[in-house]
Amino acid sequence: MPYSAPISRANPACILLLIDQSRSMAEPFVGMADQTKAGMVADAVNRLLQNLVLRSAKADGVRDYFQVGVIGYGRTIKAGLGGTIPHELLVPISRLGDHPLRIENRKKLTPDGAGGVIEQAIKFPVWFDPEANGSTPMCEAFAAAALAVKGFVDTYPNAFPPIVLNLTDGKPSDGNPQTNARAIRNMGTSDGSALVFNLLLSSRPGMSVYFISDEGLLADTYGRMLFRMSSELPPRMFDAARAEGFEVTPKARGVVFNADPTAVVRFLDIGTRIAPAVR
Amino acid sequence: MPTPPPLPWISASVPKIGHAPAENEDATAAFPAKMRFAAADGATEGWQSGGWARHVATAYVRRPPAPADFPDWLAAVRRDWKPPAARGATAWYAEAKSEQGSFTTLVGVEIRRLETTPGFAWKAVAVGDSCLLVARGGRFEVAFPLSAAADFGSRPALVPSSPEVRCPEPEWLAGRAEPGDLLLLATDAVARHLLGLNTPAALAAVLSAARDDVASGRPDQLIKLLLSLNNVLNDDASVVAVRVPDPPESHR
Repeated sequence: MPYSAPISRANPACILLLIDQSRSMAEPFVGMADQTKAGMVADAVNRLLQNLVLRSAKADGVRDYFQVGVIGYGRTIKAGLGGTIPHELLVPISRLGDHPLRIENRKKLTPDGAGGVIEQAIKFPVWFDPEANGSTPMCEAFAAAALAVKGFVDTYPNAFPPIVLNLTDGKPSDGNPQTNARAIRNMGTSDGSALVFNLLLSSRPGMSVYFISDEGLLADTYGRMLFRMSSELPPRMFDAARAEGFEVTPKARGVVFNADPTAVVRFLDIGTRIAPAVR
Repeated sequence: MPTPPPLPWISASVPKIGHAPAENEDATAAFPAKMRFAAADGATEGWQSGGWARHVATAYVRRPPAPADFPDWLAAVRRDWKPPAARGATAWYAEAKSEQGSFTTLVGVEIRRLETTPGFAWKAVAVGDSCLLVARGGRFEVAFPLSAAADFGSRPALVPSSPEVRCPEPEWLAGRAEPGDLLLLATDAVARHLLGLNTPAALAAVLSAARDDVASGRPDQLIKLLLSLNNVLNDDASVVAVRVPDPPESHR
């Protein structure tokens, strides 16, 4: 059965994030004046990386169950976790665990059990800082991702297929990225084709649209392009989406439109569900 | 009156592919003199879950809980849990993971001789998808708490080490064992495989191999089975096999 390869140190999973860093990312989310899109996405990326480290952490250290990369695209294309594109783009999760850029002390509101909330101090490791500058060279970002994916599948031909998650707030400034996205989806391992998922941040008030299976629901050409660039959710992610309450139908794609901050978190969660939660 | 001999039993456990035996997060425990046996499967993504699984399984065979005192039993087990200090314990992730705590499944069985008639009775407790399978002849008479391969999921009930996390209600079952019965305590990979065997001959072959291993005192065939499962499922795999002896000649 495809998309069922167990994750191990011999066959790690590859998670590659493409993050739009164009100047429009400095704008706030609709209706949220105090939070920029870039800042919110950076927080979600750091939280995802934190979860991946914690999932891999053992008493003897962090086991390399994941190879993770971030490509930021804006004024330039660059590796968001250090290293160089494309060959040192993917970083073993143990390196992230041992070397965050910094650990911030933040406050989190948690229920106090009596109907109120209390402020709780938490440690928040940071690997990726927000940035918003320049245009939206999404084609080039996908091309760089394809090289990294090629390197991964050549090294780990039997691993769970690489997952590429693209988060953007606008249209590409350097052409049509469909060909480069297709090149990624055409690569894979013995366990299946590489997965490409896309999220479009909200530009107008309204509900986020999750994991649709019919591009006819989309009114604009750009939305249809992102839909076509996106892979169908494999069974475990499809089941996870359904369990989370999404009304997914067969052939649902890993694509989210008009995403608000909650949608960003849920997209990253569902799109990286590749192993049972606590086994 | 001489003390009857303990029941013949054997256990086997293998770690996931590419993992050292010390990284095995399954645990088995036995107190043969008291006829108590347990298996536990530490959650991979927990912190020190292998140690917690060993601690819980051992606590069961030392003093099994009853339905009425399970909360008190668990509170004592948690109090006694002293996870070993982690290397690099100051790492941010060690602190965060230790706060989340450890998790394990548990299945335990306590067997007793009947006083008035030959034979045995047993009572079992389970949290999660580690199972007790009671084989009579070539088939399972009891599969507890799950009874079919399709019942296994990826989010089983788990015993948490943290008092802050609620423990799911355990399941309880009691039954009689006949002479010749084979009681298997199996973690999920093994239990799912055994319950999914689709021909009587395939199941009979596994049960025969387990009986032979118990008789010989060497788990060679069970380990071979666990390694073959391990290749497919890449999960830690463990089993405890206990055989109920045939009655003495005087009782036949």
